[in-house]
Amino acid sequence: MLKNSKELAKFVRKNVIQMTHDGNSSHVGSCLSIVDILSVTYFDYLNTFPNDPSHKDRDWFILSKGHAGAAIYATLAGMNFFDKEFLKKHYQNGSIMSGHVSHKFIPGVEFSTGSLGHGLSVACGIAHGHKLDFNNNKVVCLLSDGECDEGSNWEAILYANHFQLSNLTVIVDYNKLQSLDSTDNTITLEPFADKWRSFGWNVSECDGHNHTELKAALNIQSDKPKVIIAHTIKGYGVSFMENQVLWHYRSPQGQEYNDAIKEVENNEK
Amino acid sequence: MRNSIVNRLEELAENDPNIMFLVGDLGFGVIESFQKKFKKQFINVGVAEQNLTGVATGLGLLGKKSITYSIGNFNTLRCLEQIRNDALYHNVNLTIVSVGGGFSYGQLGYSHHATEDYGILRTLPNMTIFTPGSREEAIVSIEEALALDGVCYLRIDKSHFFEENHSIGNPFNTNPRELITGDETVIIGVGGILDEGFKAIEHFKNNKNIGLISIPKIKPLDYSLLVPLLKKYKNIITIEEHNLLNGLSAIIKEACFDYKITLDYMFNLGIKDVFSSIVGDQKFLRKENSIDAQSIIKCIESIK
Repeated sequence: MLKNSKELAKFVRKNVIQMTHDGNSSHVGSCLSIVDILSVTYFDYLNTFPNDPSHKDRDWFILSKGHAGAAIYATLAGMNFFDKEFLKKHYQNGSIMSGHVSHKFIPGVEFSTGSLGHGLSVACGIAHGHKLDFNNNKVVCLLSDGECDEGSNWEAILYANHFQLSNLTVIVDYNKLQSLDSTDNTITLEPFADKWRSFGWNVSECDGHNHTELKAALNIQSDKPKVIIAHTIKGYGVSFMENQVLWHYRSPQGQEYNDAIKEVENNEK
Repeated sequence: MRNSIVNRLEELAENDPNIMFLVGDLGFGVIESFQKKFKKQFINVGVAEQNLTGVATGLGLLGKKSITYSIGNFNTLRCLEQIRNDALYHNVNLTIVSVGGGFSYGQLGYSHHATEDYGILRTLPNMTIFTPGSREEAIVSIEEALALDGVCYLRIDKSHFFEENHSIGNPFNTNPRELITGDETVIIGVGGILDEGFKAIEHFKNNKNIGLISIPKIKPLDYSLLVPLLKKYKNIITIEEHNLLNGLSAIIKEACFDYKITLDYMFNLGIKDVFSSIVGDQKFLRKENSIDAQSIIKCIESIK
């Protein structure tokens, strides 16, 4: 049994490396970038019911950056939504555990994504529905930074402000690297916080790997929809993967895999 | 048909607080009464169809029954991936109501010609597609759509046929209907364009051999009901205000091949895989595209 968000993060980090190695799959960097966000959100913030995942009082989490499927699957296994043996199915032929997150037959996954720019509108619908019914369920949606190039997000960002969806929290995984290059060299997002602020959101920024800061940001009370711009490092926790576009696609194999596992097991991150 | 649907929706919402009516900033003169009566069940999402569909999906995940209302291609093609990935893959209760099917908004130009909609949507798994042609078919369609736990598309066009034009009685479901019984040639249509079929039959009023079939729900289609109707006839004329590709003509041809129905003649009247760069009202553009009563008459006259 994992005792705190730090232990959960270590479990997820290790499994993400294992899964992307076994599946020879991409996106290990994108997964490692959000391990701490997921761990704090699930362990310290969301009201979850691992034995009854569709409990009416549950809080909702939507991973809009669906390419980090391995990270959410591992988090759910760490939270005991299902047996961690199931993670071995990831990316395998005939498996339901797809590279991009899928909800079908996987306890705890609320929504399948994979094409960017879909999750936030759906999160708005869930948040709005709960608000109309006077329920207290919270909704958290995790976006990538590159994903914010998608115009559909900005439709949803307008909407959440207009309807004052105070039960909605967006976390942006701002690691400043997207598929081919940095966000600045691709489509710059700056001044990023100001953009959200001007759309009427409550904006906070934090170190996306610092559990205390993440927890504090999640617990900010506001009458407005809330965004946490989490400054992260792509590939965080494995020194040779950090801040490298290469690890958006490369899968850890051979010596790289051994080194990555060793580093994650030994370091205090 | 538009008003019939919204009025029926209003009646249904009286007893069903789960009905959510979402509009993409369209529906002037049609939606106001619903909006006023059911403040908590009405959302104007603004001019943002991707978000419209995503929000409706989110509400659907909570067990609500959402309707997304817009015109033309806006709540279908503009947000096609939201329909596919969000609504259909998660199989939420969502009814997409688009008014302005075919050339309903003919004068407004190509952007407002919804002439490929159901062909595109038909290829999406889990999708149910209603193509009512009369007010009564439209009402049955919205009732079935809301009762169905899944994603439906309702194509509503400006024109409609009158149930008074035949003697079989009002529809009680959306199964294929033989509006006029014949035994030699049959005209098969979807939507308001069936009125052109009535006109063509009127032209041959002393000839009792021409039948008329409406298919108010093209997907899923109950072939056990359609095939016996087709088998009665030697000649088939399909008519639709839609691209010939993957539309009604394709459906009928597939059925004839799959169920080994042999015919003397098959005519397919539809839009010939082109955009209409000229504008005009629905009647004018039907004539321009050879999908009017006169075109049906020509087909029938050419049958030897």
